[in-house]
Amino acid sequence: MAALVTPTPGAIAAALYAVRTARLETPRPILDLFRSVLRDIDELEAQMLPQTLGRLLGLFAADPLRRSALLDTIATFDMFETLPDIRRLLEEYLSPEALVTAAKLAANPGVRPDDREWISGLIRDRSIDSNLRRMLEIVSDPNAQPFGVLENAAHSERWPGAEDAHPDQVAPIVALDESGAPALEKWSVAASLHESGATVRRVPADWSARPFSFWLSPAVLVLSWDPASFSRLVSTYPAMSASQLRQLPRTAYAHNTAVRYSAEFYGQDRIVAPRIATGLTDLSPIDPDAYHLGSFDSHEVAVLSGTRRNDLYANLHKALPPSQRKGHDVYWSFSQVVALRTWQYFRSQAGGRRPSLDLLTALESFAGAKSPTAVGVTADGQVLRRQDDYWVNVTSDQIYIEQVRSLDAVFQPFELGGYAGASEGRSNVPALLGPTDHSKVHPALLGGSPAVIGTRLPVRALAEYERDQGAGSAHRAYGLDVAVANDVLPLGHRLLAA
Amino acid sequence: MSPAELVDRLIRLVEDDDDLPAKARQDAKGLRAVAVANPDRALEHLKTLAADVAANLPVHDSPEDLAKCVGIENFWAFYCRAEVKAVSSATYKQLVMAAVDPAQQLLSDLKSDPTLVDAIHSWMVPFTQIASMGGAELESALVIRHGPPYSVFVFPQVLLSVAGIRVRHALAVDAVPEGLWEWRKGGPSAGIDEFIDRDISRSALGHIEWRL
Repeated sequence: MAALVTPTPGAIAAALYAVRTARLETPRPILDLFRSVLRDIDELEAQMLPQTLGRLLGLFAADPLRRSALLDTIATFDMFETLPDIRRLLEEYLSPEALVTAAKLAANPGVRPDDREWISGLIRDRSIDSNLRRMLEIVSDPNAQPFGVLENAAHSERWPGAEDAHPDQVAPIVALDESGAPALEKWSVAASLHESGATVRRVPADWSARPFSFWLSPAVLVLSWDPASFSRLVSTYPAMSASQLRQLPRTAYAHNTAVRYSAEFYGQDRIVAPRIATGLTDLSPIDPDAYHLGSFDSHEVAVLSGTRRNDLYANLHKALPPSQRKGHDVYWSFSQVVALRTWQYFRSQAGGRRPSLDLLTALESFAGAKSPTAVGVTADGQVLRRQDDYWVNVTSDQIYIEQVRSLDAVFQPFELGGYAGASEGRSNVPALLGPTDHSKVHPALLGGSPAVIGTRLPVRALAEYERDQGAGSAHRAYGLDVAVANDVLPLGHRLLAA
Repeated sequence: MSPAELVDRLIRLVEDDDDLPAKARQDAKGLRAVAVANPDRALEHLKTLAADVAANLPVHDSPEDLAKCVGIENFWAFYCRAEVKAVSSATYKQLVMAAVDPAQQLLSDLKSDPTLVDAIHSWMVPFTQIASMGGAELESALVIRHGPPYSVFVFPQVLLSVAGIRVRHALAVDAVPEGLWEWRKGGPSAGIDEFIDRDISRSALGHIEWRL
């Protein structure tokens, strides 16, 4: 893979836009800002993400609130690579927040010794508020003695291996060993860990300095994509053992696995998996908060929209390019699946007008609505909303009187005719939101992959397990009712075969 | 959402708000041409326009106590003293939850800046409308994206008046700075009014409540 040595102007522009438009008013501004930044970046850009965010620090001098949020994001996700940029910032102005961020990052073994020494000198020699100086010493010096609740918490969090550390008084620390880690997935895992209540500590693949002796401890969970690299940690921290190591899968759902491992290690009272149901029962999949979510791969798009995979990459590539790329893999959003399915739906209607490709763009860019019954579509590409007894164009407000289908109708199963319908296994397009009696599709759940109702089990994973381990193995392994397994497995096999 | 989509929706919000001066709505509409060629610039212009318009809208004394609901990560990020931020937001949440009096803990960790809330984030609701609500009820009533716990800043009417803080109902121009394209007039949900102010000074704060 090609390696970048500096962020590209395009990456900086995209990150700048994300930070400028991130919502700071939300209850979790750091998480939301970070996820805004992660949206639409590719693997190479993900590798340079800290350097990219570091470059932005100087651009927000006139917007201290946003710069503060950026510093918090950098500290929260342990982006030690930004230290040279923070150093430049501090050389201009001794901002307390920048100082705290720098002191936190300086403990990471990825930090160059001269940067670490510079921070220590700054704390020691410059005129700083005494309370702040005291806390900076606690965070940057493992031998500083803490007093009081806050200092003890700061000490225990930064130096979990210290004898006087109290790990139960701070948020669970999860160390992410980055050796062999896919960059995008690594950040996604970090975001999910933060969301679930953990503090993320990055263990870089390359060390610029020997780690501080108390920086890790046997009580810290280590997640790794390359378990063989754990030996270097054990050689540095001899008390650490394989019992605190978990290997992450190289899949788009590694973040779910990471949260599950963390909850098993620290307890479900301390690591709380994000509520899928944040109203999943209440939140309609086409609600504006959910409609543009989802990461459907080509197999899922093919089955749920009644489209051949080849067509996604060939005939439809320009009209409906994937919304996300992760390395060589591409994904489509729920809005795109809805758009494509609607287009296919109109194609399936006997005697109906041949649908316009404009329909794809219109539905993809549609903001969303509270319910599928409140949204109408037409074959010529209009998206309409229900107003009293009329269908009204969402952009022009004009009343539409020709034949309209509600999205609710499109979400029901339908059959394709002609060439597409003749292809094996594609004659029936299953219901979109409930492809089978015991499975559901929701863009906020597992990226939209069809899952067993009431669980986070993707039906395709069940089918894979069954394929590898033999018939009847999946329901036993996952504790599913036989009837449930029998209902969802054909869909899983169909997804595999698509 | 792409910059073009975002600015298009924000322009539409301002255009459609008939409580705004006609000229402001017309000026917003005029930005469509800029948005086609350069959505980023159009967004900048729209923010400037929104700030200018918001600064000149009529305000009045608040007839009642007002409140602002803030998530714990938000409190840590924007309201805490710098030294408190030496711990992560996750650990801070744990410390507050373990405190004998979480509300008092929040108050003692509050930064001392004279301005507590800047103008573009000064969204408030009448305190009486949320006074008896727990965290889950607040989440629903205020349509908050992330779950509780929350801290609630309470601004008594008397202190608001002494601090010279005057308010008005939120309008579309208030949604522009944060890009709240889904904002709708009339409050976040039924029975909840929404007010906004210019900067809110620390002196207007009465107390903080902790809602699980």
